[in-house]
Amino acid sequence: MLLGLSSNAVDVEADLAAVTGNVVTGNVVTSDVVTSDVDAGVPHADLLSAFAEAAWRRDESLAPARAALQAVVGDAAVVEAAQTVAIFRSLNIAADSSGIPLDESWRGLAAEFVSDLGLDQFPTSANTPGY
Amino acid sequence: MTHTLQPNDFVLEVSDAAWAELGRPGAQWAGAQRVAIAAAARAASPRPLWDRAPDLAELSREHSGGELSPFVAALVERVAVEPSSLTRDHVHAITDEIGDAAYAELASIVTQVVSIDHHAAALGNELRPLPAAEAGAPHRRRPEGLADVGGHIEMTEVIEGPNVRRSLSLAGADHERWMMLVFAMYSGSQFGEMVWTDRALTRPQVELLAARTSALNECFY
Repeated sequence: MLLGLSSNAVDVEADLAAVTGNVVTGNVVTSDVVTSDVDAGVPHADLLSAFAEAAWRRDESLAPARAALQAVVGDAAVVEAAQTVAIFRSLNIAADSSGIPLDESWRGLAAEFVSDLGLDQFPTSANTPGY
Repeated sequence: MTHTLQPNDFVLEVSDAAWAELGRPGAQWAGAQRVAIAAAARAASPRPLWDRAPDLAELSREHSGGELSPFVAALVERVAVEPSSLTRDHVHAITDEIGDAAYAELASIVTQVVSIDHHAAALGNELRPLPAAEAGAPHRRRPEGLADVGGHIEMTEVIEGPNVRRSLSLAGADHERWMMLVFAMYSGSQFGEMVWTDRALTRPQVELLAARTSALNECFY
């Protein structure tokens, strides 16, 4: 949702589907770097998404994904990317282990894209009061 | 040729502060138990499809030499790598046994270790050594202002900002330290601002990374 709102704020139309189905089903391998076949309407979305996936897996794909991102966006951006993927992994744990309700201010907005993106297929949709 | 990537100074400072406290007695767990929880969180990784995690109900509650019972060690793994499978009924069965505050503190230790470890790993850096355990008994104080707001456990009743801010507030100081990590690693004071101009990544780029990570974790929230 914040991807959509922040993209709108800079007059970019983000493809929200890029964060779910397209990335899962559309990975392509170029040399030794796994990149995601995704154009989310965000600069370097493919490299950022590949880095997020590799950092999530923490396997041999991480070093080449990080190097590919670093070569394009620079050190400071990679450091911010690493912070983001790391803290969101823990944010997901806090949300799911505590079962926090969906924020009231997000309920109307969420209803607009939850089924379109298949988010209602996530098991935690049943554990999220307010949805 | 790549080179070593240095963490942001503020992130490092906040991480150092959180790490130092992991070995000290908390509200519900002793220092040695907290370090054992941190070690179990670090060791946890998603199991392959053919290797199902053991049923928590079938695991021993008795300690067999270690700081954690097999049940608590498996609970740490569950929280660390499969939190999306925890229903309200699961959590209530767990908290009936160990207490809701102990559960919240355990989960809060996991969130701190996961964020600090994954940050280091994502940068290609070595993981920190676990802190030494300090002697002393848990203080057993429970935060004030908690209520049932519809989640699995009690949490702060009145907050400003998104609900995740109060998620594990039952864990008190541990939750506050993790929230400082969130502040340092994510939005700082700019959560409500949709345009970030003083960073290397734009807000949409950060939110793409966040959304992709959350999708991989199948986190609905």
